[in-house]
Amino acid sequence: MNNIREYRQSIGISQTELARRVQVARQTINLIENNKYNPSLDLCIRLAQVLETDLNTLFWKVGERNA
Amino acid sequence: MLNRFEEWLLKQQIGYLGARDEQQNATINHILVKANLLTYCVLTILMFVSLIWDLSHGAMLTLGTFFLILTQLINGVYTAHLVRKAAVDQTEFYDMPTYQAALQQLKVRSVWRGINWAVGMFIWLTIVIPFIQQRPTDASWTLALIWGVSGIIVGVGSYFRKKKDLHLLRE
Repeated sequence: MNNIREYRQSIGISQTELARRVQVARQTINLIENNKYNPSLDLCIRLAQVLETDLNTLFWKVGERNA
Repeated sequence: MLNRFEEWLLKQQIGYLGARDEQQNATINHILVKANLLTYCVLTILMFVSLIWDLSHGAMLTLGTFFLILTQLINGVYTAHLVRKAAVDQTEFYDMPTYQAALQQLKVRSVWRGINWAVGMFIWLTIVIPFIQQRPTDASWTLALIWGVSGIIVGVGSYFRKKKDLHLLRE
C-alpha cells in the first residue's frame, strides 16, 4: 500500500509526467500505484523527491507494520 | 564485451528500443526465467525421445541427440556455476533445532536421490534400452549390486555436497 496516487494528484501531475520526472515508464507508475510492483529504494527516494515529501509519508500506513 | 553482447541479444530477442526501467527489466528477467525453465523441460523430453529413437533404429547416439545432451549439460553447468558464484544456494540458520531439522530433511532427500539414481539407472540401462533394441535384458544380481553401490555413493556424495551449503551461525 502506498500514497503515491494521492500525492501525485495533490500536486496536479499525470502519471506520464511523474514517470518522465523519475525516469521510468508510465506503466511502472501505474503498477506502483496499484500495488502490483514494489519499487527499489532508489526509485522510492526519487518518487519522494519529485512529490516533495518523504518516504514515511509515501509508503507508511499506520497498522501495517506487522501486516 | 560479454555484457554488451548480452544487451544486444536481449534487445534482439525481446525486440525493444531504448533503455528499460527497473520494473521492465525485472519483468523481462522473469519472462526469460520462465522461458528457460520451459526450454529445459522441452529439451529433456526431446533428449529422451531422440535417444529412444536412435536406439530403436540401431544407432547408438546420433549427432542431434548428442547436441541435445550437450545443450542440457552447458545450461546446467552454466546455471550451477552462476548460482554458486552468487552464493544464492547457501542457507543460514540461527538456531540449532532448525539446523538439525534441515539436516534431517537433507538426509531423507539424499536417500531418495540415491534410490532414484540406482533404480532409475538399473531399469533404464538393463531393461529399457535392451527392450528398445529388441535384445534380451541385461539384468543380473551383479548389475543390481553395482548400481546399488553407485546409488549409495550418489546419495552420500549428494548429502555431503549439500551439507556444505547449510551454515549454522553463532554469535
